[in-house]
Amino acid sequence: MRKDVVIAISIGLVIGLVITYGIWIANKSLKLAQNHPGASPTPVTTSSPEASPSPNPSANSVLVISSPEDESLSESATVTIKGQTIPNSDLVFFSEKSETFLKSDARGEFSTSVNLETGYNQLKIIVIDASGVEYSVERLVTYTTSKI
Amino acid sequence: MIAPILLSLLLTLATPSGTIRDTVKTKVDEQIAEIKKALTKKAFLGSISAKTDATLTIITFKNLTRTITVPPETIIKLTGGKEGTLKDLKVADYILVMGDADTQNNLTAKRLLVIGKPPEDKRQVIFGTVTAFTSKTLTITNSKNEKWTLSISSATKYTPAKTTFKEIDPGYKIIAVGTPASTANTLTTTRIHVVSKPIPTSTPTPTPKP
Repeated sequence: MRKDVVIAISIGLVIGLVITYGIWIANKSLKLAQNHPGASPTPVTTSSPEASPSPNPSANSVLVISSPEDESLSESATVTIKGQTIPNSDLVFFSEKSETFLKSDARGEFSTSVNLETGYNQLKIIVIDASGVEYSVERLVTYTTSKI
Repeated sequence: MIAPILLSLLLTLATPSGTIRDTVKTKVDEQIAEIKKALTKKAFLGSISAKTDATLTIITFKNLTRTITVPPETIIKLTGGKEGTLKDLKVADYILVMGDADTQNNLTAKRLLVIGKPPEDKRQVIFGTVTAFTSKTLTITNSKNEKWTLSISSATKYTPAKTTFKEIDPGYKIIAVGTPASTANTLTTTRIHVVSKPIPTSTPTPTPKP
């Protein structure tokens, strides 16, 4: 009778230890995943170089457009173009039917509103540096009144 | 005697395994929320390069490949506004397609329009310093030391406000926008933006324009 009890306790302890070890391993893995989010799949944002290539390879480093996103859909007839470039530089914005001129501020930031035509709008943002070199970035923005 | 030990073991184990389950559930919920959040409304413009029974592949004007799923409920408008189906679309057709795109830019179409090929934007920007003028032209030199003749007409607009053709003299730094004319280095100018004026000398000699 006493022998049976000892065997049962031993088996119980072994099973308990195995389960506890399993739980410890699982917890460790979860903590590791939380501390290193890069290890988990991250969504690719549209600001990736693939999504916004420029005819001028160095344009993306000189002229950064934070909005609008390329290939975005707008339910408004105007869009604000925001970004950062060389401080106090001259900028030209091409919308489908007009041009806007602007100077970036002392931090290189700029923001302007442009009118959109119904349908697709190929917007072009050009910055001219102090030596007269131009860099440009394009954005496609579609304006629709239909519910998408 | 065995029962309390097993019970206490089970009780000990119940809490961490519950925690793991909760953590996994939270993680899964977060991932689902992220996927939902990752779907954004987008519009792609390009020509159809391939077609299957339910998908289209297009090449955009930036030469990027986009895959589009076209469910039966997608509204398809052919040239002229006529309603159509996926069967009406042909390779090389130019389309503007709107819908929900995932993070890999795979779009599920909600509205698809067949359009003509978008016209090329021929506008050009020339930045330079005015070196000469006539009654209908300005000559500017750009950073590459190239001379450009800006053809001026009554349609040419000036900025900043109140700027006129008459006041633009040699030494002015300007940005000109227009379309290249048939003659080399000549721009049919639609916009002139004055960037800076030359610093006046102590004895200015005004040169009136004709």
